[in-house]
Amino acid sequence: MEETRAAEWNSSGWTFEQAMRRLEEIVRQLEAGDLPLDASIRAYEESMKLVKFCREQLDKAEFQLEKLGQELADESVSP
Amino acid sequence: MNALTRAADAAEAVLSVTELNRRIKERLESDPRLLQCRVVGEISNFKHHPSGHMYFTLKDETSRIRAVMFSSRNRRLQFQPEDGMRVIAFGSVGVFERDGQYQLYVEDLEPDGLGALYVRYEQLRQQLAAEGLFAQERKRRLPRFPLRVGVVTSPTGAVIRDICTTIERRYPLARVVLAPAQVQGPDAAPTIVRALELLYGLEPKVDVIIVGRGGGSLEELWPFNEEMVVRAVARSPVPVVSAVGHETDVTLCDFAADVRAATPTAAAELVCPHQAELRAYLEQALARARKAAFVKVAWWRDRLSDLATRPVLRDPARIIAARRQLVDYIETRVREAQRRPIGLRRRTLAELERRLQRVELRGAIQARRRDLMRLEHQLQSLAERQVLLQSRKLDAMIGKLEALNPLAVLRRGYGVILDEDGQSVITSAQSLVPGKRIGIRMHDGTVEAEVKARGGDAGGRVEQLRLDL
Repeated sequence: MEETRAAEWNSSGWTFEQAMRRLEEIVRQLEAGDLPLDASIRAYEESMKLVKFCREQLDKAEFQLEKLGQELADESVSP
Repeated sequence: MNALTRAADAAEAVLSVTELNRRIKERLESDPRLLQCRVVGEISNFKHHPSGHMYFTLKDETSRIRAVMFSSRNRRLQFQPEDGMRVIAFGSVGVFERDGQYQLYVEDLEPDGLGALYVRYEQLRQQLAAEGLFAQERKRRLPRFPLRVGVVTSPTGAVIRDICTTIERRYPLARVVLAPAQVQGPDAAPTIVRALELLYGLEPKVDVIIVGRGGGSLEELWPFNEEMVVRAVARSPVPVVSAVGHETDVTLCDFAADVRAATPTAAAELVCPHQAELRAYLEQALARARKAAFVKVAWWRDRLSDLATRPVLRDPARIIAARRQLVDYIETRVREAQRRPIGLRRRTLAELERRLQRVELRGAIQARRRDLMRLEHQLQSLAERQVLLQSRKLDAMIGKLEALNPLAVLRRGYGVILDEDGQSVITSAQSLVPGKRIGIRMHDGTVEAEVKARGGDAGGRVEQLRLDL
């Protein structure tokens, strides 16, 4: 069956880049429209999870950057 | 009295040229003031003969003397004599009997005074430059953040003090490693070379080396122009900063080093960054890194939002819709496919019928049209023939009629007897009784006449009639 090819995604142990790649792949498959119906429903569901995960990762990264910048700024106030 | 006889009077034999030159030679070469003398002058007409001997003229403002330096002597020369060079020549005056020329037989030659050092400097510079020791491509960049700075200089001079203070002030992170050396005097060069070698072999390595001494005269700076020192600097495994003398003094060591500093303090400033600059640099680097990181996040965010807003994800109904459309399409086709056999046959039949009709009608019409045309042709030729026939008949009839025309007969002199009324023709004499009034019709008119008498004969002749016109 077609859907065995697409290893089901779960958030544990995936890097952001892997998730992005997977998301791109799914979008491509959905756009091509050659997945069986139930597989494409599952793919859509998976893509939603991926988008959520990636968004969270980016938010987290940005927050960390902000935090680090703040810490450095605090430090360099007293030379 | 002439000179000759006076010479003869002097009881001297006449001399040959050779004998005269020999006397001169003996005289000159026995004068201690002309032996082992030192002469200062400028070289001109210098020729280095292939035999190895050097021939030149020594001159000053007002006079000149020829000089020769044999190859056995000039081989040990530290420099290459050239025209215009001021030199001190050491040697003896002698006579070259063949030409009757006295000349200076030079045993040693040295450039005059400061010029001598300069000549050695210049010649060594050219030689080492030709070897590529001073090539720009050899120059290395100084390390930005040295941990260990090697210094070759006198352990007691101001140089090491200046360097240490400067580095302490600017960049306390760096350690100064001093390799002591003599920096002036005839024995200085080997100690400088040894100090350099010491630093080259040091473990852990120094990141950069400063070679230096304070200002001084050309002679005092001379060790830094010695070939061995210059070569030692050139083969350094780490970048070397040369800081010898003041800004205006340029030694060969400066040329061989990777960077030249005007003073030892300047050298120390060159080898390490200033703390403040460093802090500023760090700030800048941090800002750049931060910006780059944010840009990266933004970039990924763009990509993610591009993917997330693709129609398939934004409007998942499309996944179904596409299939629904497909189903509709297929349904339509199936329906059409079902309908097709009857419809097709019906259409075919109609088509055939139409074609049949057209074919039949057209055939009949054409056949009839052809018949009609044929009939027309026949009719026409028939008619034409008929007309011809009739017109011939008519002609014949006209001919006959012509022959029957009474007028034609009359023209030949016959007359037709008509009754009194001119109504009917009288064909028999029987009806003509005398006194009867008759008409005679000639071809050109009618006359009235009266029968007078009748002959007895049957078939009486009309001429016999008496005509009373």
